[in-house]
Amino acid sequence: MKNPYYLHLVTMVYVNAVLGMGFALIYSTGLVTLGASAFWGIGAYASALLVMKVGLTFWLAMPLSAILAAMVALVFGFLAIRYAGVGFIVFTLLFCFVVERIFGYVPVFGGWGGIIGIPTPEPIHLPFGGLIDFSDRIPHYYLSFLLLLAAVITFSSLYSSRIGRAWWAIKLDPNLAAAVGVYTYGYRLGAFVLASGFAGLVGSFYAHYSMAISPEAFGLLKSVYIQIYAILGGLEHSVLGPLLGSLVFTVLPEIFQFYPSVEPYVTGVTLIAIVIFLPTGLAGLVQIVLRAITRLRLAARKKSGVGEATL
Amino acid sequence: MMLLEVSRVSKYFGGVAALSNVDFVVSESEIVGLIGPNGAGKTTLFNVVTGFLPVTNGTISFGGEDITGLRSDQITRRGISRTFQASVLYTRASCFENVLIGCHMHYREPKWKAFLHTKAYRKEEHTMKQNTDELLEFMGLAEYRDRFAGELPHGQQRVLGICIALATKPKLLLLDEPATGMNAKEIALVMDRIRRLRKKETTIVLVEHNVRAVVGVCDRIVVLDHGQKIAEGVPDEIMKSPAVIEAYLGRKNDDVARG
Amino acid sequence: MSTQLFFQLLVNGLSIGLIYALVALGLILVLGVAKVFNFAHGDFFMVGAYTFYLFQVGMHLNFVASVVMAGLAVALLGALCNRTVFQFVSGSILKAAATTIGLGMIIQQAVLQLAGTAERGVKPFVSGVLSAGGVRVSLDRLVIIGICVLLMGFLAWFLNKTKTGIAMRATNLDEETAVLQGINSGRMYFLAVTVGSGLAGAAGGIVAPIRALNTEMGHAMLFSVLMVVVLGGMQSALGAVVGGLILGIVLSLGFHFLGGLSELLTFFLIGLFVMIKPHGLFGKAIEVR
Repeated sequence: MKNPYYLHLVTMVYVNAVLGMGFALIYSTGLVTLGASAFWGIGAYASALLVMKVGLTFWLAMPLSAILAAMVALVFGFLAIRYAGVGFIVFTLLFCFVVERIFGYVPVFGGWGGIIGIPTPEPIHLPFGGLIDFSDRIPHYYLSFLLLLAAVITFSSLYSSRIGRAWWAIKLDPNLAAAVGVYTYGYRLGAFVLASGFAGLVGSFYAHYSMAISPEAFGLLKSVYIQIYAILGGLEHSVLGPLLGSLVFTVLPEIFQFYPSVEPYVTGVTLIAIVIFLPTGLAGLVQIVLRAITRLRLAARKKSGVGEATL
Repeated sequence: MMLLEVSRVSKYFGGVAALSNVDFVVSESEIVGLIGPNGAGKTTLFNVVTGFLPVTNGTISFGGEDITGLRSDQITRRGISRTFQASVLYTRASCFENVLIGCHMHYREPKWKAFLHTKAYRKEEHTMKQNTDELLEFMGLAEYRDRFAGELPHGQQRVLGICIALATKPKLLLLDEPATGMNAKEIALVMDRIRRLRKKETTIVLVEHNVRAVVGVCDRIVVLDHGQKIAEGVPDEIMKSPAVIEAYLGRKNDDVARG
Repeated sequence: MSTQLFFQLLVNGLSIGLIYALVALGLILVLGVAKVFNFAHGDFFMVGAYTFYLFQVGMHLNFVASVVMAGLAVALLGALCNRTVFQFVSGSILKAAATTIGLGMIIQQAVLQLAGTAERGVKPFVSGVLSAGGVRVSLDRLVIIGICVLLMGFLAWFLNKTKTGIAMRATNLDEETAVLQGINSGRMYFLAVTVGSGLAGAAGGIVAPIRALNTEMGHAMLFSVLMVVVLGGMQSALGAVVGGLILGIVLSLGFHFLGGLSELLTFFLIGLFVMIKPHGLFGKAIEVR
């Protein structure tokens, strides 16, 4: 049986990976967002309120929260996406800032103390008898894994289709993409809405997992962390990368708890070092290492005279 | 029938008129040459027609439909494509991938089918990829299929640019100085392809400095200078027109000497 | 509302608005010339304020000299950052965002560890009021206005009348052409970053006497400056000044009547404005090709 602390860590790794993948998805169209945490927060608060104030079951609240986050993203994106890179990132930053303030100041969200006592998901009654009870950590773990899987499958499927190709074309040269008939604005908006919807989805999960939420968790710092999950992992590998990045940067802050004054330095240096020295990220590093190993093995084979046909 | 009608179009950048009351028509299956000294406004005209720049005044209609003010991707989907003066390519992608993205607007299966990778979608992908290969073949680029576009010699990059524009299956193709940087053999190939395209019912407008190339292939030539149309007619007339010679000689360039 | 109150609020708004303008000018100078969006610009401002404190309170330097030191210190910091980070991320918004945010974190923590968490207060440079026409206005605000106007005048002179300044503007407008005309763009980047950062530092010093210093003040300033830049136009110096003034006055009046909510309200007002004029007051849409 897994140690509950490690179970918690891995669960959070999964959650953060989905957030990082959302960032990567949006970046695959050439846009940088610093507002991802706001949509995570919208999902969390929406779900908490839907269950606690409206009385819905979690299993209905979760998809609804995701849809709500997506709708907010639609409105925001509709207004913000027409700006070039710098303008867009500024707007997302402002948005993130403002959403945190709204969660803090508007009374229905519980103020700066946030909402506590969020109920765990209702148990699922399995058809062949038996119960999945969410008072334990393990079902949460599996649920987060399922959400991650959903994200991985959805995003990969899109990347490998003509939609992903359109995104790539837009990212590398939006003018050329438009010249061949790609509706750049629409594709960017689509990616933004989808990524934000998923952020809302795991936000809902997070609210009922940690059972208490407060505005600070959804502020700019989290948006920066989400950026790190994606960049650290490597943006060329939009699925594996964020998972790796999330793994490192979910575990690392746990260690920092004991050395709180070091954390900003490590985070800051990581950001700078990754961008300048290892732009392909950890996933890229893994690839380089694998390639080097393959080359070494090939060289060793040639030396020992094994036939080249083995390649 | 007038395929393209540019009516009294002006484009001002601040106080400067890049285009001034230009009237310009193109009939179906024509090959029209657009010439003029540097800065005459030829590329600006292309930019305005294809939606890369908004007009200040005037209207543009295509196939009877008013397309003034539409986005460039909307205009491409209505059947006008262009190449760029400076090669605009996905340099870190293969030639194949470059042309494949050009096929983007021809997918008929809806996006959700693409997401689910249904059989119909996969079949369509296959067709698109075949079309891409055929197009590369047609333009003589088959040997560069898997090479990065950025690695190609300059002349071949321009050919690739034309290839990408062709992938959109345009009714009207605007070529912005296609022959620049090409050697004689490449120019001959491209011009031959252009003639072949006309047989395939593509209408073409050509901007070129190489006047000899233009004269050889165009039905009609339009001359711009300082944003205004100063002459229009068959190649022979234009070559002899004093206004045209004046416009070229009046500037310090060697186009007339070359052409 | 009495005339007295109105004038005091107006003067407050002008003074803080000019500060916003100064910092915003620094930001867009770096953005336009060196093509780096420095998210640590607010932290630069904060460093300026703390440097001022160090010199004025710690070493008993006078007001003006302390402001100068603040400006120089941050200019130096900017030059250092340029050498180590900016030059590698110029042009790429993702890289610039990630690295400058990282820089900001490092800088903020460093100042926090050096200066401690206690809020610092600085005695005002001048105390007292100016009486004119039956209205009394605090002198320190007028001093701020004066110095800011002086600095902006100097900047305007530099950018319009000196060879180097004109070269910088050329690099801002069209770098390729500028390089073809013999302008050393690397040097322009360096100058822009130094001057731009120095402006932020000086602003921090100027405003230190009327603010309580804490290490978070940079983020609040960045937020305000971003609103200024959105309002005024991302690349426009005039927009930065006008936007700064508008924001300063609106916030000054708004804060008096609405308290903390005025910030949010202003944000939404600007958001609405931007829907009508997407690129700000003086911004230009980026036309393609």
